[in-house]
Amino acid sequence: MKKTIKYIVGAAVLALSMGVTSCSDFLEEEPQSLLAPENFPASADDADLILGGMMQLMDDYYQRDFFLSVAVTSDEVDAKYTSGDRYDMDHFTYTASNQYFRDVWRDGYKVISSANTMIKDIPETTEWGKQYLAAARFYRAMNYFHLVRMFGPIPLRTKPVEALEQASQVDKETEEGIYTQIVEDLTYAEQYLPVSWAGAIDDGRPTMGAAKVLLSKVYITMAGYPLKQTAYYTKAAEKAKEVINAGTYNLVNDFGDLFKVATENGPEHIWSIQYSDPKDGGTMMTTQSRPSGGGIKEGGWYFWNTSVAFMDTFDDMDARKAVTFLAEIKQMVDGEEQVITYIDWGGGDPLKTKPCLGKYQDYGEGRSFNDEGKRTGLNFPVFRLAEAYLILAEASNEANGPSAEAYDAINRLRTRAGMPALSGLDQSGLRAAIQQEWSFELAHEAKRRFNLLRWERLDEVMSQDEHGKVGYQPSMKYLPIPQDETDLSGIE
Amino acid sequence: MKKLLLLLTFMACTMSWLYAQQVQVQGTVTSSDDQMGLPGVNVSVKGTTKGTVTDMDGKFSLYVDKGVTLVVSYIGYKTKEVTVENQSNLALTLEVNPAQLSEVVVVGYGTQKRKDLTGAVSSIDGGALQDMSVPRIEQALAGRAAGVQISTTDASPGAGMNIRIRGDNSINANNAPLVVIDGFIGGDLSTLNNADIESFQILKDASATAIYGSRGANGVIIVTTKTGREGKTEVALTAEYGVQQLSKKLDLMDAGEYWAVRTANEQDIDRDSWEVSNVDTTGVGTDWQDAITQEAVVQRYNLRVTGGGSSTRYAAFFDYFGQDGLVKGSGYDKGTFRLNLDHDVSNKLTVGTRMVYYNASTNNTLVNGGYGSLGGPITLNALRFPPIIPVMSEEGDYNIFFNNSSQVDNPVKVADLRMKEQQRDYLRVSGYLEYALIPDLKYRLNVGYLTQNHNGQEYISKELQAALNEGIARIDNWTSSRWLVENTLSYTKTLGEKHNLNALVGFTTQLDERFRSGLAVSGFSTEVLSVNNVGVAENVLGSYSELTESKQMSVLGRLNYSYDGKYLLTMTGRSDGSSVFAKNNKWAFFPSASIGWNINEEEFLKSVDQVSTLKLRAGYGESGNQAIQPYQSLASYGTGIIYTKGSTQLNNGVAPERLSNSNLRWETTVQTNIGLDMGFYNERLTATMDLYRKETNDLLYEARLAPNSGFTSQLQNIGSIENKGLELSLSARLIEKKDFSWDVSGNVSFVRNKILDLGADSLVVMDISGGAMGGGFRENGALVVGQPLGQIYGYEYIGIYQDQGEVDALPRAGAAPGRPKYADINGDGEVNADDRTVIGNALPDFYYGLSTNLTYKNIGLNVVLRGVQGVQVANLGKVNLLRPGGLNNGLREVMDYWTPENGSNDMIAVGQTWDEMSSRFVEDASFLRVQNISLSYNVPSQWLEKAGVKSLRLYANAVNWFTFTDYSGYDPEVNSRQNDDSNYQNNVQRGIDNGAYPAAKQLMFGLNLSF
Repeated sequence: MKKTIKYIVGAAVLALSMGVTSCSDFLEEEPQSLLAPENFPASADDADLILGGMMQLMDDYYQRDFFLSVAVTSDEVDAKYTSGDRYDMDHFTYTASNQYFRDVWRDGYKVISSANTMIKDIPETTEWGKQYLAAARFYRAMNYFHLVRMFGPIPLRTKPVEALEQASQVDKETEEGIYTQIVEDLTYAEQYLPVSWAGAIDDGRPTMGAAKVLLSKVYITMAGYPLKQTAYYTKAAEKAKEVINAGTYNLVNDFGDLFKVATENGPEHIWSIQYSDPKDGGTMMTTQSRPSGGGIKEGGWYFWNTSVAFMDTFDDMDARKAVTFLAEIKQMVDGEEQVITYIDWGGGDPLKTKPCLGKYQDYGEGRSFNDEGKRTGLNFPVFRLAEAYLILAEASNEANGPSAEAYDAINRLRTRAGMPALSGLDQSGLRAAIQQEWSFELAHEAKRRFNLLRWERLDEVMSQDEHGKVGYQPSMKYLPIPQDETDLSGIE
Repeated sequence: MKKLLLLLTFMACTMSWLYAQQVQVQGTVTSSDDQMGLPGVNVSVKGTTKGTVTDMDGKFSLYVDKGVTLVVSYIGYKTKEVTVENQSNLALTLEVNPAQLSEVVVVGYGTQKRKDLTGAVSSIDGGALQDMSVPRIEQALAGRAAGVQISTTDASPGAGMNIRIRGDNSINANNAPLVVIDGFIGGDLSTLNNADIESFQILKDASATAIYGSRGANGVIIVTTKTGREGKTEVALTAEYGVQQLSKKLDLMDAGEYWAVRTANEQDIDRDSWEVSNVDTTGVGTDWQDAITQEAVVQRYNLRVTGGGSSTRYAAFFDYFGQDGLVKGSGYDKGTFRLNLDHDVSNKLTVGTRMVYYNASTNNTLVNGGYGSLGGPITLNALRFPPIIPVMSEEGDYNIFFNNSSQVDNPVKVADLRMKEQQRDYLRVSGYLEYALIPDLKYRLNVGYLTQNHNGQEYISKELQAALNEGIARIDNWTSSRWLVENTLSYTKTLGEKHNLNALVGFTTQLDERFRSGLAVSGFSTEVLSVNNVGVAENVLGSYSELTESKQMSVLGRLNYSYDGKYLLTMTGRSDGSSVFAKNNKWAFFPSASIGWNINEEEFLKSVDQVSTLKLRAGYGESGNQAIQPYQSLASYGTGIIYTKGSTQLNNGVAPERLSNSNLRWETTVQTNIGLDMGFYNERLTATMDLYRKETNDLLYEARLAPNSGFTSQLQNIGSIENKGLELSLSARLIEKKDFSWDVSGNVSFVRNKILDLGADSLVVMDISGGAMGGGFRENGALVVGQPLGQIYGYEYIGIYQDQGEVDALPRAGAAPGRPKYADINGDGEVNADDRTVIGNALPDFYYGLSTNLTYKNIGLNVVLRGVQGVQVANLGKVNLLRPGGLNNGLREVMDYWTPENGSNDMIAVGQTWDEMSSRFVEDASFLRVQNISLSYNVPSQWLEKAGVKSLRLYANAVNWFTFTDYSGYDPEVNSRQNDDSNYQNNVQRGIDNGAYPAAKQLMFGLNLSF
């Protein structure tokens, strides 16, 4: 108020004399409620806020755009549509204007932009600084790893864009160049990330374990298509063993516990996208994966489902089958339990009479599915220990043939699921079994497309897939670079 | 406290009541043609602002100093001057003026005679609006002036109106005109009530608006409120009362019809899973449109006290307006107080204040939004809810939409359990001082202060989908203030006989400050306290506070020169500096020049008596638009991002949001205008025509940035928009007899809008639906270079696929017999996303208005018509109402669903949905509306005199009683995306109907009483 009076009096005096003196001070903007790059981030707490912004983007991206872009475009998940962008992704009839490709690309680069800002501004001289730099480099590596596997050669930005001219000046970097940056970032991240963040275990911030398992996944990917630098199998196996032998993580006994709100962030989880119940922090994965119609009282939005054929590849003895596939809904009608099997879902529409994704059905205890606009607090598992075992089994078999190490790794997962242990296979026999085991263990966890890509099996599988074969061409290994990116920066 | 002190000082200046030695003069003013008393004649003391007006019989009374000269003037009559000596009763006869040219028009920072105007200015006299019963003054203005389009966007109580003067100039900045009320820049039209208004002046071309510089591009509305006049205190009272009702109901299926179509789709419906026990599938069932609406009362009470002594004049206005909503749960109340004081300190010095306060409270119900998992807008839900479901269950609970699968809320439940209230306090006080330094040179200081408080509260019960089992409360408060200091010097001089000179210079400063804060919480175990105690809520969903400041400084000037009343020249310039623009572009200069030629003053036309006015005007000028938020040029982070850390939800995430743009500057609109004014038979017939072209350059545009930069867009000055137009207005006093008069006036405006350039973009496709429409409806609007704003985008609908042969001939993903068929625009033999095109436009070809007054003895009839032609609306709400056999109820036309036998080309088969945005949902929304029919009766004065009553008028007004249109929704003048917070949305998201508030018609009865 004091200042206001000062201005008014000043203005009046100025006015009366009718002399216009220097007005530049008067018109200067002094933002009082803005965070500007000049003064931010300056501390660990500031860095945490930017990490929060990045976590939100990842939250957003994992629950719809990413899942559509890499799971619906695989043989494991089908979209329940007769036309539109989601239909096109499932049937490979998409164009570069597809909104989900656009969003997944945009959000990936937004996280990279935040990470670049942190990396530029946070001093490396302090202990807290190293930790947050490591976190930023983890996010940057993670997103480049997703982008390079979705889109192939892509722009590589390691500095924040700070002026308009920089925004459109960019070229594509080769896959090899991108992987070099990823490995460099993760090597730093695994060194400086904490095993767990002080005062908070498993709060969604990246940890040393997350960096190591990601790095081992990066190595095994570099060993396959497109780089095919097979020397990386050994490195992948070593890194996976570091994760397994660290003692930080353990397989849980009950496979179903991995996909429940009540038991999430358990001993097997390494890194998950965190969701909490209240609507804005919740995930739509559950309702998008939940069937509706045909008398289901608590129906979801039903975006996607899976095939009976895929369900039939699972042995009935396999404890993972009932968890992976939702084939019936139980509900109370007038005090009696009613069971509706998938045959009756959707009122007989063939697109809907299919089993659903069982891993995303839990909405927690003590609430109704309809609360919070059908959002739930169910986390999305990005990495769990089982994947480290699969990487170890595969990398070890590729590097050294059917070794005891490879058998031991895969059989741990099979035993946990109540399946007989494997033995006596040759290298290619074990390779086939391991590839199959990836699907049994990690079905619908957004791994399949990337696995097919690095195994060079995408063409073979998708051209035979019931939906995929409608439009799949061998040139479609990578998703198209989004149209708006092409329009604005010229890269194609 | 300091604010208050300052105000008190201003008030004190003007409150010193001084009286001099005076005599009372009474008189009667009559007209020379019929010898009847002339009401409303201005009688003023020459050289002062002191004066009065004559009453119904032409009588007046005034206290004046002896020897002063009285100036008696009236529009359409020659002005007369008399000197007061010892006469106590003056009989004055005014002669009809050959031309109605003495009228004074208020222009920016001054006044001008209409005869001397060179710009395009429409004037509306306050008296013309008196016959209308309107909650907002804009409604009374609609259709009155050429080039001014005023549209209702929503019939909900308290909803704003959309005003566009000569089209849309901008994409990202505000397109609303600048409002100046009693000299205060940035006035709020909500402060005005019918009875307060002396006049409206609408400045349309650049030569008129350039004096407002960076704020003039959208046109300027200058409002002058009534002031007191010397004479006896006059008290006037208006009371009106009426009822609103639905102007239209949509033709929906009843219970039996709904069930017939539903069972045609699905024979074996599993009713066990329904959680509604009292479903009735026969008969009429529930009429949900009736269930959510009510006959709503509208009332207004207005009291005015005006008068004054010889040196002090006052006018005080009190107004209460109350409107219940047509839809349950909505309503609006407003109380206004206005006080205008003027005081002559001496012959040289006059001071005064203008003050207005109002308090308004609005109750909103959920319309135009809340789609998807938020439960749905109440209006759309009433159309969708199956008629077989009763409102309440047998146990007395609200019924749900069959079972918990659905996220469509019972609309009656929404009306009852969702509360959203906004309270606003508004106080504006300004004081002026006018001092004649020398007789021709006047200094004027105007200091104004405005403060507003806004308090928004919302509570969504935990029984509703949007907050299921949680309950959500939101609070949004802001307070803002503005200081304005204006200094002007004006100089008037006649040199020789023929050179008239009028000059104005000014220096002004302005300071705006706003503080906004808010909170959203959820998790109410008890709902008793709701938003009144958010302390009991478990989770904070979001919180924010923000302080913004902006400052402006200006130097302005104007020069008017006329030679012999024939040749006119006006030049203006304003230099504006504003803090909201980037450091490299703080200042800008806006010049204009215009000329006029009064051809009728030339010798060759002077002898032609029939022609009373013939004037040609031409002008060119620049004006600007700075209507963006502060700090847009600075780099910043976005804050308040919600994320999850472990199982905790936090809301303080931060991410880079904006790149700096140190060159951000004003939008500049260059306008050329040519006009012709004509008047015949002593101005009984007048016509005005204006032709203009505007080009807005340096558009403030959110230019998209390459996504790999990590930024989405940046506000830049890119591109341009053109508006070209033709405006015609005509007015005729057809009959002017003692007992019978009839006048008609009308106007029509053609505007052609075109986007000339958008930088790198040539086609920007966007979602204007409001969301949750399904994948195919997510892209439905477009900005196209070379085409106007407001394009509707999608497939061109060409019927229904009849058989497999047709599917094979025109393949498309998901094509099948009984499903919709779209045109193959690019001719590649198949239909896909590349075949989408422009399928409609929400800007009209032309709009028009017509009003007429008929009086016979004491009876008066006023009719106002308004129309819009050549405009389309995307009726998106209908997508949900045309699904044969779906769970939703729908329009009766779905009963003619496609079958192989009937071969329908309008309706899909049962069980199918409309999967894409297409021209099937675009409708012609041209209309002609009878906006007002007012019938009044003036009770003869001889009956009233004994009761001490001066006049009594009784009236009945029918508002929006008839609307002629082919549009199938509630109201053709609809825009569900209007009144969003963002300018961008308001500007580009046009012509959408998706759950809008239904249109109302109302019948009002009232009386005007004065003593």
